[in-house]
Amino acid sequence: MIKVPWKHAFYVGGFLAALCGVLGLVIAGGDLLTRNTISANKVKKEQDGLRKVYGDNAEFSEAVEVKDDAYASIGKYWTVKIQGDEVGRVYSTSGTNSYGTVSLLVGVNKNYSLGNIVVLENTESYAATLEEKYLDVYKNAEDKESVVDNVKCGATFGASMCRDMIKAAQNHYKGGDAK
Amino acid sequence: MSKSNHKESFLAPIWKQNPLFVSLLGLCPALAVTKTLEAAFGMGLLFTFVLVCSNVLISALRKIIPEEVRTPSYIVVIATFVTLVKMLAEAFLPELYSTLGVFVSLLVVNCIVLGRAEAFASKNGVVDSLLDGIGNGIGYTLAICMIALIREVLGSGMLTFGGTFTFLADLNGGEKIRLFMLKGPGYDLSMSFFSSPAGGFLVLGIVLAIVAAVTNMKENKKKVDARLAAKKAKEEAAAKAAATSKEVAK
Amino acid sequence: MNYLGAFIMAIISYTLINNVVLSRFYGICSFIGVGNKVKSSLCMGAAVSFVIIMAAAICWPLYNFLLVPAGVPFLDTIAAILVIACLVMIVGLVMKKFLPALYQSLGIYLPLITTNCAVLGVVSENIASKLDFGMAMANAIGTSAGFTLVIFLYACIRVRLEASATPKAFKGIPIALVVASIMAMAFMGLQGIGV
Repeated sequence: MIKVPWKHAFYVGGFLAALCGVLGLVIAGGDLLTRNTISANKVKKEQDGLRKVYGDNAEFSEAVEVKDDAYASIGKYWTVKIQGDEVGRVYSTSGTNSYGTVSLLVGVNKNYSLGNIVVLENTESYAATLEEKYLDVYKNAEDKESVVDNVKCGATFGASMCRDMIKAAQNHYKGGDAK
Repeated sequence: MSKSNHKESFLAPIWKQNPLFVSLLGLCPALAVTKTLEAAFGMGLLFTFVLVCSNVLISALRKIIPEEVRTPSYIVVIATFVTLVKMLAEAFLPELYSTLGVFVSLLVVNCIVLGRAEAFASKNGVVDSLLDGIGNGIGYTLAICMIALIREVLGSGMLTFGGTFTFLADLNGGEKIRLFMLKGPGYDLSMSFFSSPAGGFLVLGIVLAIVAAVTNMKENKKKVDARLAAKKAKEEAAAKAAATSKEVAK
Repeated sequence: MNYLGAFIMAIISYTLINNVVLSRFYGICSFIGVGNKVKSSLCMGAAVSFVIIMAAAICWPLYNFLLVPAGVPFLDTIAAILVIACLVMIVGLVMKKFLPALYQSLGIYLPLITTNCAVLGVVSENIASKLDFGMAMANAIGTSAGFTLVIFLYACIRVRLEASATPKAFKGIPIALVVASIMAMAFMGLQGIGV
């Protein structure tokens, strides 16, 4: 007949419960402390990104949500005005492939030519070289149309996905507002 | 606890028992975050925070943790502090958090944190554990900053401050502070090999070899000194014996 | 490209191109610690593979169907490490009962799988990159295959290395790291593959 040491088992169980309780409080405290700061950081990053795409003098309208299945990668866009004249739009796009998620802010000029991009989020695997091989090349190129299709650069999956996102933003602007 | 004991537990991990160079623990972050000096320093900061907090808490609880659930308790405590550090970093140092990525979570399974908890904090008092945590943190930070310095200077040619700790860039009027060493306006002697993973392994291997060579040299010197001292003592004893026997003969 | 094609390309990529030890830097402590024992390196690779795949398979639904709807996504690290610790304990018990010779040869390395960065790294990556279940499993399978491959090659090289005359300062870990650097260079050549 196995003698179960109840007293000891209660002690161990009680200790574990108390430990988890205290640590849970620590984490909850941390969460309360930081939750607002984290969401404020996200908004600030977006605003800073908008400024990087079109410069400090630009004024941005309110964000317009895009809920069109044909443009599934686009989340929302802002209309950009410099001194009252509309000069283009900035689209917030994101896509996921087998390596991770990439979120971009794509600027499209009024004449439908491609503008600058800003990377909001790139959760691809640590060793991925998407930024080096494709996005930096695109950012530094004078004529963006010529480099946007160079996807066979060593980060082909990620580059194809980014190219599709950029083209989708351009087409959306060309095709007028979707519903 | 004597004062010298405190001093010993604080100073030892910084160089003599450096957790990276001597005990070879915590190799994964030492290779992954050492591409730039700022990232390495930031990682050292977060690591020290986690180590100190977990050491203190485990040492405070060491008398009431039951034997059977020792290791799971340590793991839960360390995981809690890593989660706390993740939340704080995401809120107050977002660039550092996005640079380090997954490696902040991997502090949970960092051999040093768990190792110090089991070997030291579970057997010593709170003050000693605190000092040990700070000492190990400083030692590890120094070690990975050394490797990061070599890799960044050789790999990208210049030291860039302000990318991760943006307040430095703000001090400089919005521009990152760059110290041109091997690469500057007009010349480029940097070898991007050292920024790649292969370069990381090579730099770590060579630095460890240098540390081993220095330790060997010191040990050899000690051995040679000991042998010389023993020889001298023998000669003195022989001279003394000769002198006394001469006197007796007289 | 259909899903199965993407799945297989992802496995190949995680095995060779984004290799877990030589590009992503997980699992280095066990990689270096395995030394020159070829057979035990394969056993270790098999044990780690099992833990990685099971941990990824359990933690993905745990995060996406339990933690996120409950509004506590920040508990992912604690949940993951507890799942991994339990898995390693179970693997140890099963091995002790059914494969005692294997258990003896692995010795101290079995509990050390809990602190292997590769296991927690794969689980954390799956969560951070917001991958779906298929790609998460591709990550796990690719990582396991890559780890076993690299650890086996490394043990074979170390066997040769024991017999050669290394300078005194480099004996042991430093020369092992230089060998790892050359292996990383070799694997770097695969990065040009257009995936």
